[in-house]
Amino acid sequence: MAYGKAGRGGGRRKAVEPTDGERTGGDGAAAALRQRLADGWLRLGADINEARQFQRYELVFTDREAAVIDEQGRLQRRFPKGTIDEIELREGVAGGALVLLTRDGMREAARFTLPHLEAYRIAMPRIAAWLEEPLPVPGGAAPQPPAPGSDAAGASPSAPSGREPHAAPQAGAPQKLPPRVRRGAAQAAAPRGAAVSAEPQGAAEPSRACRVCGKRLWHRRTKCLRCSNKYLMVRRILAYAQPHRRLMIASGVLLLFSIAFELIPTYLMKLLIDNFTEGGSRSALLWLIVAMAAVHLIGTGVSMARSFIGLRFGGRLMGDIRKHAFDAILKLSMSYFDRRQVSQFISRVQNDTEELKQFLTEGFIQFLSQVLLAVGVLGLLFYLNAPLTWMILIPVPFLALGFLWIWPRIRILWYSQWMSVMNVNNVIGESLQGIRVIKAFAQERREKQRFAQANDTLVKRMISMGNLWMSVSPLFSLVIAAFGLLVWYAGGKSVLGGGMTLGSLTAYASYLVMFFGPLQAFGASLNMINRVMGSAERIFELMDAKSDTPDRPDAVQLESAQGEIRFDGVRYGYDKSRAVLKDLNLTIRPGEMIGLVGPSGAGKSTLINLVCRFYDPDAGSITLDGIDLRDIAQESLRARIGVVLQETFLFDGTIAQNIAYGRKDASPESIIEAARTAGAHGFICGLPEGYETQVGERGHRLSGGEKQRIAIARAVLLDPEILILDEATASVDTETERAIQEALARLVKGRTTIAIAHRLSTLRGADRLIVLEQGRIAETGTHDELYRSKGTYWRLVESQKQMTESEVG
Amino acid sequence: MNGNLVFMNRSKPYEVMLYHSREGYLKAVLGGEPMGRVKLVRCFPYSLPDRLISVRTADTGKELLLLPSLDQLEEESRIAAVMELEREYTIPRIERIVSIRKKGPEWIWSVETDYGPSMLHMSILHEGIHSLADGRWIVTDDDGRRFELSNLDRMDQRSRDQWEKIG
Repeated sequence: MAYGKAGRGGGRRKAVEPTDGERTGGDGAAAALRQRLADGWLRLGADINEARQFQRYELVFTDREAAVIDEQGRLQRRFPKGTIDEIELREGVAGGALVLLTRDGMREAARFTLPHLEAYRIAMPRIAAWLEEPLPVPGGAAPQPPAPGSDAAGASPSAPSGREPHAAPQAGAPQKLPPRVRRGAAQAAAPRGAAVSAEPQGAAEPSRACRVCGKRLWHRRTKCLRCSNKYLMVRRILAYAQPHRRLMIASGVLLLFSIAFELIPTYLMKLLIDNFTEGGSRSALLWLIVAMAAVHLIGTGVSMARSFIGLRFGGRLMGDIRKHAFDAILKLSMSYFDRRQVSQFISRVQNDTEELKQFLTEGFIQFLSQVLLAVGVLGLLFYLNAPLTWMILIPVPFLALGFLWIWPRIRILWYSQWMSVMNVNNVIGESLQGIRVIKAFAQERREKQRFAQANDTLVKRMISMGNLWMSVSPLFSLVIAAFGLLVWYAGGKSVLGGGMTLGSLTAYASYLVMFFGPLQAFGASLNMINRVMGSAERIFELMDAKSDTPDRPDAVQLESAQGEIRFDGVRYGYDKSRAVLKDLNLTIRPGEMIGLVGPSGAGKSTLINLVCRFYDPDAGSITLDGIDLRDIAQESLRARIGVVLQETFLFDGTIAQNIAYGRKDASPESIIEAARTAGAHGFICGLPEGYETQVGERGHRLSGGEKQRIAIARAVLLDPEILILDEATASVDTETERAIQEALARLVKGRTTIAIAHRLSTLRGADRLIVLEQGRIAETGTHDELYRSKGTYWRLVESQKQMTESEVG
Repeated sequence: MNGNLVFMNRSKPYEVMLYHSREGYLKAVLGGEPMGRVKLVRCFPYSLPDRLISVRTADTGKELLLLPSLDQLEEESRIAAVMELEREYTIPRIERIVSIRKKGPEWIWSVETDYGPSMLHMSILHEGIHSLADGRWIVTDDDGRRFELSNLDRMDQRSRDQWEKIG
């Protein structure tokens, strides 16, 4: 925006550099200037100097001049008001400049980054008013500076640093601008909302039987859990360790060492005590201490080495499992996702793989080490006192029985806890996805209640789980303590009777703790193994899920296509008991544009879903250039099809990346050409960062029409032989629709096109209209033919006409 | 001159003259016809700053010409275009990362840019870093200032180490 002076007084001085006296304040005039600057009515911050370097300074407006003052308060430049003809705020990308037009040409008074811009915008009308005012008469009363406090810029010294809050724009009435205001070409795009639509998905699951036991599969399961073999499952988990077996073997060897180093100190302690009680030598004492120190030192080293290896091993494993899980998700057919909440997959890929990793890196090793330690300790216990050892083994069967009792209960509790976690995640995911609808219908309270319910269930299940452990764990401890006392009694008697040394008894008691320790830890391991089994089940279920539309091994790679699509007796239903398309016969010629018309639920979208092979027909066949779609490799088929949907999804990334989504190697020139064909180049160039504007969830908000044109550009760049337009202009206004229609008209030339549109007027350019009714073709013909025949199409057109008239009227 | 003129594949210099008027406005003469005040728009401001420049009228924003490269302009026009683009785009390029620290809830970057040294304060780090392409990012601080970060492999070891901490 630019502001000019209405009347120009004489005696102007050009923009001046300050004299030394002005800079240092060394004489009377300088002192007066300094005083004026201190009393300046407006101070605006800036942070880029004339040499385009970061430097903080202020632009101060007094009644006589605009002056640039550095951070130390020194005068840098001065622009006497009389020399300024016009002042313009030039807004650029991520910054701007305040430009003064003087008799000597353009001068930049201040240049700044984005944080300062708003203050300048607000200040501009005040600065314009200041420029219009006459210069103060020497000796006369100074003119009143523009009313302070009426806007933020005039009220306060501006921020010397970009870190301080920006001046808030004035609320309420728009600022009135002087008549000679000129606005720049840059326009800020107003934020626009995006329509949210939800498609009902009421697909039922086909009933299936387990291939092993022949029994019916559980609801929404693709794998029979009755037949899931835990041994096989563990083997399958361990198979992930196979590529990293060297690390695993190294870890195992170190594990053996660390167990040995755990057992030795206790035995050395026995020797030490015996050395005291049986009159041993000083040198033996010293050697035993040295040996114990060495064992501890080496044991620590081994433990550290194991940790390092574990980290590397775990990281790689985690990466492998997560990659497989994600690959498996992308391999699945659309029907798999139709029946499931999408947010659960995030938990599966992230949390469940983390569980598997934990098991493979720590849990499994821990479990093994506990087993080995228990066996090693048991051997030593027998060596020290065999009869006593037989006695202490009495509780082991009872402990084992206890574990067997608790195992299935824990499994169930873990599973229910996982379900609760998933439920909580689903509620959060769903609420976030539908946040607009929730707010629009003021349903926040209901959603909060829904979340509270899910959350309460999770808390209850966690408490149940804890309760089980809390009640069982002390019992185990009690049993172990009781047998510890038994050992001290029986062993003590033996020592008093001379059958055992004091050192042996002490070592025995220590080993006993080491023996029962792992036994108790088996409980924790059991817990963990249960969790892991659950995670593994869910991950493998995902990996084992069969795609409903698999590629055949001998599938044809489609290099190009003529574009003839033939439907031959096609029947399809999402719910197999209710067909959406019934015995459909249709041939679309290469290059022909077909408009699909019909009431909601007639099967229009289903038809194009079948062409894209998101689903396979239940009966009949669809061919492309005579080849059954089931015989064509899906990737190569979809590379021949361009799709523009009603709801355009933009990925996180730049506009250029989104346009080039189907062709990563596209040159910038071809991206621009595609955007131009789609009518998108104009608005893209209007964005500050052009084709490198970030869009998607974290980026710039585009309007429905703008997104749609990007989607069209995406299709143009792909240059497909077949084009599918599913309500491509449904979510935009009439003006935008016209622009998009023009772009589409350019796009459809020479391509086989199937278009669906609710507004029938948009399909007038179609070579042929197919009217679908209850899954069957009711009418076929051009617009004029169908309209004349006064059938279903005529009724649809007439009802739309009436609706438009009543809306306009 | 009617409609959008696009010259995508010309090898000889354009018959385009760009110059700054006394008022400091960029003006254009295309094929001998004065077009008045114009505005330059970088289609790819980060990855191709000197290529694919859209020349548009300043008032309506209508595209007059898409310049494949500034190098195809006469020297004087090229200098005027470079100057105008420098004025239009205030996106410093980070040349060295001195440090990236976390102080309380805030991330503080100390960097050296082609505009001189600067400090960036970022509350949510991952939301302030946008990848433009492989090895090229836009870093936006809490104040909305944008910085270009690229060519890390050409930066010194310290810069790379600092980036490694978060990258």
